[in-house]
Amino acid sequence: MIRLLGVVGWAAVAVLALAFGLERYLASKAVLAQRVRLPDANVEALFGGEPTPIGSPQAYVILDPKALLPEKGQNGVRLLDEGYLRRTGTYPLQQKTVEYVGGIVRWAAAGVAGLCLGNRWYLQRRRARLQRSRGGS
Amino acid sequence: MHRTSRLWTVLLLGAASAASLAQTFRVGKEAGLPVSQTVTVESDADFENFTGITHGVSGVIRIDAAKKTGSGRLEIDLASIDTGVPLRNEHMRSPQWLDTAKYPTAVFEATSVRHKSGDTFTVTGKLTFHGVTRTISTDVEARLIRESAQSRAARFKGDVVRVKGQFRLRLSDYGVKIPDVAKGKVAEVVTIRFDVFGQTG
Repeated sequence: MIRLLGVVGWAAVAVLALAFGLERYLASKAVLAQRVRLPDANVEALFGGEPTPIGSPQAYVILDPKALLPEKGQNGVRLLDEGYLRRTGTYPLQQKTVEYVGGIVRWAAAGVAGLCLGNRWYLQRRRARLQRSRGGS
Repeated sequence: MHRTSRLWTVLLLGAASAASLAQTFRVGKEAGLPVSQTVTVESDADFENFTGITHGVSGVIRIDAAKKTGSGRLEIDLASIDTGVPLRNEHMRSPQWLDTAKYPTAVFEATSVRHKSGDTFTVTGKLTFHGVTRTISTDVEARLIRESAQSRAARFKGDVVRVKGQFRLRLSDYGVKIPDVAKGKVAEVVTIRFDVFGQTG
């Protein structure tokens, strides 16, 4: 039982460390970007080349830099080509999703680690006390 | 007396021609437009932002350029909204959400258009969505391009109008309830953005 608690507890600590690492890695790939639909040639000819925004600017985890357009939008926000995303079947991960899921995983892993390692420590102490008392009598 | 009546005739003809400046622009695939319409709906929730897109917009926009006013009726095909995730699209169309089998379209009917400044107009109208009709008001940007060699080269027929704008919509106002399982994943208030084109030809 004590061994099992130790294994599960340290595995939870590993998950916690892994979650931190993965979150930091994904955060390093996050770019504030606006998804845009490039104008049709007919629209561009009449109304200019301003792209149509799809949603509002978000911090996206961009693993494929080809999805980013060379031009920048308002306030220097990068533009994410909706056409490219659709063509490649890419659904860009958002930084807020990483943080949301990361938060749940961290809390859950910390809870499991605390519970298992705490119980393991308590059981070990109790066993040691019992052994001492047996040895003394 | 003769001169006065002639003056009135001129004035009446002038008023009649001003009234006839009201034009009807047809919107959507049936209108044979060479460009697609875009309506997006964005949900900003804790878990993620997702944006549904549809090009299924049809209807008419009537504009009186002289009076800087207008009216119109636009119909949005709700079943064609694509959020980028097939399973989510399926859920969205289901009876628990938009129930597109029962309410296949959202309809907006403009009842009042007031010029604000430049290309900006304040449009008030009735939005019918999910079987509920409510009055909404929003600012839109409308640009009118008269028929020209350039517009014909771009394959438009007649005069062209582009109307862009956005407004926010509380789902519960229209009887759409977010199930507990989706709380944090779908926002209670969504932002609707539209970019539609119409042509007279």
